[in-house]
Amino acid sequence: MSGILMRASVSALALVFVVGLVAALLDAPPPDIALREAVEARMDQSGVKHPVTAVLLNFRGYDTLLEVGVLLLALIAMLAVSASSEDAREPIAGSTDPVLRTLASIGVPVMLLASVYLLWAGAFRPGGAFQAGAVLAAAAVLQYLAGMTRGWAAPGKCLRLGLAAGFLVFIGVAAAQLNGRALLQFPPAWAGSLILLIEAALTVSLGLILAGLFLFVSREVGDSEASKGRDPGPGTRDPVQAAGFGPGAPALRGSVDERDRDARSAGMGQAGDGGVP
Amino acid sequence: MTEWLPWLILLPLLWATAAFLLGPGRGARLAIGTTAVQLALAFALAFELGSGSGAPVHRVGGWGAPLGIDLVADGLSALILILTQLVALPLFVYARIYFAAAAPAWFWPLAGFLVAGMNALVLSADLFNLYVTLEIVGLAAVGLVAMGGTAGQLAAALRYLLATLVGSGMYLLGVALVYGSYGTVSIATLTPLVSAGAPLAVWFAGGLLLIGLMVKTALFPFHGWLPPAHGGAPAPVSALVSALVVKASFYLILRLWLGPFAAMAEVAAALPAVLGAAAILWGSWRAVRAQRLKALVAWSTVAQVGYLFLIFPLLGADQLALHAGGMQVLAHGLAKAAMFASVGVLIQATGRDAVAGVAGVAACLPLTLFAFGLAGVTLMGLPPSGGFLAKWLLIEAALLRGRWDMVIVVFAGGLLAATYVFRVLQQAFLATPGGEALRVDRRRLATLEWTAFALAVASILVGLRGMEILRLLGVGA
Amino acid sequence: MSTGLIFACVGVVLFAMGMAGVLLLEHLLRRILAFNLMGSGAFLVMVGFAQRMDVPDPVPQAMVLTGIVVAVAATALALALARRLHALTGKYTLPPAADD
Repeated sequence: MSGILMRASVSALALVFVVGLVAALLDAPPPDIALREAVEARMDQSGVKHPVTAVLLNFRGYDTLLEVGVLLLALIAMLAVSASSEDAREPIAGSTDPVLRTLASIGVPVMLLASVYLLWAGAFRPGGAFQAGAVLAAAAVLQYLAGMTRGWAAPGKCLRLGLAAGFLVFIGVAAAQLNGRALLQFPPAWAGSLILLIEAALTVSLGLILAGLFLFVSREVGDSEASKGRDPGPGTRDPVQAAGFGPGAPALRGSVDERDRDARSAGMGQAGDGGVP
Repeated sequence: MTEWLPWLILLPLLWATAAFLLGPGRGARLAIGTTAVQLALAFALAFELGSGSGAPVHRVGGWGAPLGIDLVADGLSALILILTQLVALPLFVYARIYFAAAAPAWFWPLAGFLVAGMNALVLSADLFNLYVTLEIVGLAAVGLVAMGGTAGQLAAALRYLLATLVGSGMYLLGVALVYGSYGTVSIATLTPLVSAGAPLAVWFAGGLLLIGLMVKTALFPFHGWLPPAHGGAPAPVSALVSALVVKASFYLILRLWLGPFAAMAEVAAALPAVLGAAAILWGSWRAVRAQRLKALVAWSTVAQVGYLFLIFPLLGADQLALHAGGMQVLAHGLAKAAMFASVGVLIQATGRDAVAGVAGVAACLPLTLFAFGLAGVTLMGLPPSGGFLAKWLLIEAALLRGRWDMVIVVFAGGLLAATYVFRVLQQAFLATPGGEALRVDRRRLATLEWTAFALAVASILVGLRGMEILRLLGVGA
Repeated sequence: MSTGLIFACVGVVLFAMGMAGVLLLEHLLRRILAFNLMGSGAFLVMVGFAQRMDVPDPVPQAMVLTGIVVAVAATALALALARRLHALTGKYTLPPAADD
């Protein structure tokens, strides 16, 4: 009963909110400041020719610096959550559908090329490091889904360096002028090259981070599905078998999972201080 | 001097990333060393402000608002910067020992991002940039809460994440409406533009910003996510998030309330105070009834956040309420960190997280119990603590405006706080159920005990150094 | 009514739907999707309302790009937490909070 009441009241509130705010939007006078004029006036000092890139990496570059930090932070937080399970099992590979595989083997090189183009295009038309990095990440995910690479285990030193490199280069360039001038202040003559340097480093790191957000998680697909003993569909062969674990492997995995789960649920009831030595 | 202002943000970002590169569980010494440097920078900033040079502005990229983003440090920001580093430094020393046996893999990078987010938030003067900093603080806090990996902690972290995302979603829509209405998100540029006669969209924006940030501050009735999150995490994490994270969104409410939305805020002044009073009474009551130690301390945070919101109808030219708010932020931050830290020692010593379980600790852990008691003195508002000064200023401001109802709420909250603090102390002086003395490895716990004690002493000392702190708060306000 | 305003009004509807979804739904995946709907609504308001004169303005466009990346990061973390919880409890719903 209280559920229905809650539903009704939230829906009613949402409706009032929508009607009120739409009325407010329709009624709004024009804004006092036209920031796009300021952007246009300073475009020649920004080092790039596309206004959105100029705002993203120069005028409001500080937002972008912190935003790369947010992505890295989300990845670390994600690792912290899965690392706590001390799951040392081998990462599993995805499907081995021949059609998907062929498509991926053609698609991935094209995507790499597209990513480089997007990076280069960012200076004068829609594009840039985030789009390029997203395409790179999509290529990695496609490869994974096609069974051409494995999901990622806990990152080693090189991978961690790759994940953090873009952020570090960005901070380095941002702080370079700090002695005497301001954070992220680029000399107009150098702005173009510095932005390209940041964007190139970011493309690699963002590609790795975005791929990592998917591929580190994928590690656990086997976890939950194998423990339920679900039969893999006809279209996809069992990923564990495909990865060369032999026909006996799935049953073994299932039992390991069950033991794991028992151990975990036993520890579940205790209070938060699981880490007490 | 504005040249080194960004280092307060860059340093923690750098050590967080370096700790990530070093590998799982590594980076403790780097974190502690760099946080000490940040603390020195924060104090240097406060001295600079105290010498009357006005609030420094750092124009990122050299553009200046509204095209670029400005970093601004006034007295209020300096106060929270000092609080952040002052709480973080002893807690990092504490965490290094606490996690010595089984270090969670990525505590140090997450803690670094949390501190960086706090510092960036406090220095930013741009509504959209503040949204990004809010998300850094929120995601880092959620990651820290979830780090333990038990089902209970994951559920608490998810509840927290959904609440904080709803809060920042509302904040973001508010920012979108502000930008659409005025064409800028710079606080300094907005302040002269917004008036009580603003279009309806701006009123919606103000409401969304206020409620979104209240959700993030866990003000009653949006507090549901806080007790499981703060009460379920490992003790050093509880201490960090309870002392700092809720203060970040409160700081932002205060900043907007006194800044761009000052003209509109008077209409809504009663609302935060009513909710704050409800938070004090309900949070304290739940703390009195709590069975677990950390749940008790977490519910006490819900109550202490309530005091912060009592100040809004009292804000005025005499600055009494502003001083009360600033003092409460500082005193509660230090006291709550001390309380969670000492509770962490008690839990390690007795092996369980229960109020009933602390019987007998008075004999073997007097220092920890003393730290808990001192922190309790601040929460109750007894002299000479910082909490006393905060509540004294609050009562003075309330009396000046004839608000007897608020005075009663403050006294009732103090009495309830005394009840839940003494519940623990009384239990601690009882004999253990079996009658035998509790065996504790005091040498292993010594660092933990002393850091908790240092934080508790600091929460008292800020009351004794009240005049300097209040003068600092006045700079640029 | 300009194109920008239509986008903004649709954004308001999406935001309200998403918010109601986060509050009312139980399945975690749906709640995370609802949060994304809410975020998309806010982004639409940001670009639509600011460009209601149908003159392009790069500043809200850049801010929305930043916002999208932040939303992606938050969504990834939420999904990771939800899947971890599912691996431990076998459920995609939050257990009732036991907080004292």
